[in-house]
Amino acid sequence: MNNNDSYAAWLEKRRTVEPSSDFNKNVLTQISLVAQMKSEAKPGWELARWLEWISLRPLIQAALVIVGFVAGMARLVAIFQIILSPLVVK
Amino acid sequence: MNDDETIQRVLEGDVNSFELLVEKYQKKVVGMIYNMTRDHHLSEDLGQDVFMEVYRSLHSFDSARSRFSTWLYRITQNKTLNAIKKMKPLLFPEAPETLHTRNAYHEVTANEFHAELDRILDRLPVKLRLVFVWAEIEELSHQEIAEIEGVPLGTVKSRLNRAKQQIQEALKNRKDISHE
Repeated sequence: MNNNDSYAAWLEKRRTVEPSSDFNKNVLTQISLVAQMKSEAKPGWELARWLEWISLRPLIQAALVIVGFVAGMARLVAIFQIILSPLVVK
Repeated sequence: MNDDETIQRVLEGDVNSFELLVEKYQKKVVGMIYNMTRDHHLSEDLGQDVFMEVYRSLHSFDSARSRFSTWLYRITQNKTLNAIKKMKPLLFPEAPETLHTRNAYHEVTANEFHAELDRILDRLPVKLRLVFVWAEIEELSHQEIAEIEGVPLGTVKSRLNRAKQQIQEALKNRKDISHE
């Protein structure tokens, strides 16, 4: 067997990778579960999907933290203004 | 029934129709992941993840923009590349013995030649390995690979040439060393 034949045989061997016999069944079981959860339409389902989506995106998480921080600071300033306003000498 | 009709059925709530898509594409999906990572367990798990992702995102698939197979293979590729990034040091440990260390008179059997080709492919840069696996092993057209990767056709061709060239050079070096 020369190298060309052997190379072709190697490619063929690499092409013969098969998924396990229950691959299809496992996928369908998982999908049926997802479909069932969707159809039951629990109140938290959409929220859970959004949280999962956000958890995979660090940039969005960082943006949310910044927005939260700015909003929190603005709220604090407003509170201090209310508390301190009687003390301000006009 | 073509892919678009099957997808339409799944979107209308017929979950069992999804089985047709899994049946049709599972070999290519699992085969591609295995040929990139050479890890049977990972290729099974990741293959399942791919089909789950496809099912979840099926509503966003636009058949006017791409074929279903192209979209599916792109998801497969992205998941595989992410897995390789995370697990690279564990996936390709250095083989304890290579043909470089064999003596000159040792006859190289087909199995050893295949093992050497496996090692050479594992060491190719990921971009070259990806194109090689899609084109040579999974036998996709260059045009489809270009669409999956989102690169021009010329880039696919040049990457494939470079991959083949590097494999040939690695084999040549092995021969030279074993004949010294």
